[in-house]
Amino acid sequence: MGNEGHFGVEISNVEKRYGDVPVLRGVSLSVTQGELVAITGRSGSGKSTLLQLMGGLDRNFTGTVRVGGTSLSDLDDRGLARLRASQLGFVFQAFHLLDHLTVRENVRLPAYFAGSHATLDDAGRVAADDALARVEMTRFADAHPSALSGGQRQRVAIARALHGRPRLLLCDEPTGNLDADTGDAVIALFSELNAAGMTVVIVTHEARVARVATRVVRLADGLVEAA
Amino acid sequence: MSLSALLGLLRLQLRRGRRSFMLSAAGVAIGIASLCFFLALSHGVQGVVLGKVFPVGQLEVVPRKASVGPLGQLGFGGPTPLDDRFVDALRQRTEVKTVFRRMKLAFPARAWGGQQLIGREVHAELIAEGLDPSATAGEDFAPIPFSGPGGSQKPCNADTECSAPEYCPWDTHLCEPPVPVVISPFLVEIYNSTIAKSHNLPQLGPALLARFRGLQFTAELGRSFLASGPGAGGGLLGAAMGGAGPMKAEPHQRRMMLVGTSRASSPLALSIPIDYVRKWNQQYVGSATELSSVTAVLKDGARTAGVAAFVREHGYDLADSGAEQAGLAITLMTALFALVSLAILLVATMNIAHSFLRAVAERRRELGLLRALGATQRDLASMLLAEAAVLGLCGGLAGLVGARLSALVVDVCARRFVPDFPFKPESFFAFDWSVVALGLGASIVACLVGALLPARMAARVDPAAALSGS
Repeated sequence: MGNEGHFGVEISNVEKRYGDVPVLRGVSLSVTQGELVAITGRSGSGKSTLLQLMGGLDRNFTGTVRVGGTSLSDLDDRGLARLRASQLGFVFQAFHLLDHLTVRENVRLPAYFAGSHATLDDAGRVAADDALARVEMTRFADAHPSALSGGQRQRVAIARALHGRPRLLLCDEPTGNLDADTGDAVIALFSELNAAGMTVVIVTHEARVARVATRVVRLADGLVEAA
Repeated sequence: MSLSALLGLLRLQLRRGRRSFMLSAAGVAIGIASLCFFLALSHGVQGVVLGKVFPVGQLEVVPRKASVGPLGQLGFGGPTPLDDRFVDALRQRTEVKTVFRRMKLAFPARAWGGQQLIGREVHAELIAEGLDPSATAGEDFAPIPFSGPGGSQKPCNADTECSAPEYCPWDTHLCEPPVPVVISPFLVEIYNSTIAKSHNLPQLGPALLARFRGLQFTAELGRSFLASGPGAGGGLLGAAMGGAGPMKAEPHQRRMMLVGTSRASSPLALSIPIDYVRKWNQQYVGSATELSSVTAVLKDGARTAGVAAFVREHGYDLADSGAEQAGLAITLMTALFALVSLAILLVATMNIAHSFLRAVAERRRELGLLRALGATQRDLASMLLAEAAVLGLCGGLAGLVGARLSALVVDVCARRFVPDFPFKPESFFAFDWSVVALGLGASIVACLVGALLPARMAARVDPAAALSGS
């Protein structure tokens, strides 16, 4: 999987159940390269589940999910891990930063699984510092996450997602834990990244995210209501 | 994940939870310390018992005991005499490295001396055996070698006419050196731990033992303190020594000189070169062919069973040295202590399993995150097992240090508070490479075994569920 060529997401007729409860009921969706897609809907509508399927974090579904032209069902654990390490970036609502590591070490975490020795040497350090610079967090590189505000933590999480230069950024409620101003700044950052050519999919229930999106997909009761 | 990436990640992971890491390592260290302590103790004691008290790797062949049945009483079925022909046959065995012979003094003799050293003459029956000088190869003796008879054989009428250390025996009037005598270190140990203490005499350390080298005393052959008169055949002692009957030669005196200690020497008799004993047995009892025992030294790793069967086929027996029983007793004790240590280690392993299971539960979100960042299931399992291996290494090293320190304390206490006994070692412990390797190996294996199930669980963490907190 190289970085060349079209890199989009094709979801067709995907169904997903948690036990007897259907969460996604025949969802079909297409995300083309360079889009900033906002997936909205009420709680329990299945939007986060859909994002996890796009990222290959959940393989227990029926239907087809293609990322960069490759069906995720055809990939084994190793293939999926390689796809996540080299092509995808994740940003979560809860940041998921490791408190015992510094900011720079958190940002460099993906390098350990990238399968390249170069990412662990000085070049890797420079890449981490570049990612931190993009989110304006360079001066906090040696701090620990516990010393940062919510907005700063989310910036670090975004820097971690950007470290491997992904082609698709998958964000799950990235502003959910932030105040309005900080949330706006983060949304502006996604908009910048998208303007630079990165495909971004954001799961959110906030209308202000939808305002910067190139397309809004609305989920209701496990079905795409509007796209 | 490459090895360098794994090590880098391991470094980051170990930075967290140092306290729980130390506690887990301490549990392992206690198990390993007790295991290594008992193993080293067993090796040490085994080394002393089987190396010094009951030497292994050699067999002592003795004549079979006389039959007491009717045929035996008629003179049939008696023991087969042990002689040089059997020694030659034994030497041909491929398992045998060397063979040396022993021959008892077959007539009464007595000895006295010690004036120059302890200020008074000590009189005693002379209990001696002839020993092949080759049995003492590699051992140092002074001031004369352990060999003979020989000497200048220059005619003389007084000691002054002979060059020292030779002297002039009054019966032959030919200069000859004193008869070299060696004693067993076991005899020295017996003297130090019992006789010296009960008679308030100085103990024989290496320095004093060196002073004893060259000590001369007089032996009178053919005469006993217990016998009725000169040349009478030895009375009670003569009967005990084989009932040699009337002496075939007049008593005469010889000078003897202590030249050192030898592990080949009989534990309860003085050893002198076998050719002296052959000559004297021929003179006093008219027979010098029957050996009292033959020692076969086996090649390294050679099996004793074949040699033992060969010995019995030829009508001889093996002397019971006690080595087998001693070795068995030590092995059983070692096994018992090892079992106790392994039980401790098992508890430590369960503790590790519990700690890692708890850690996997606590780190579930983190494991899910690592999967999202590109870790495979195998990466997560490897990471946990690597943590366990490091824990095992640290616990093992700490355990080895603990065992070594405990052994030092025991040795110091033993030196201070335990009374001397024969072959009391400087240290009761032998920390050889096998103890170190086994300690570290057992520690790492125990930790890896403890971490197997948690590693499997870590690999199976569902990233979607872990990250959404469900």
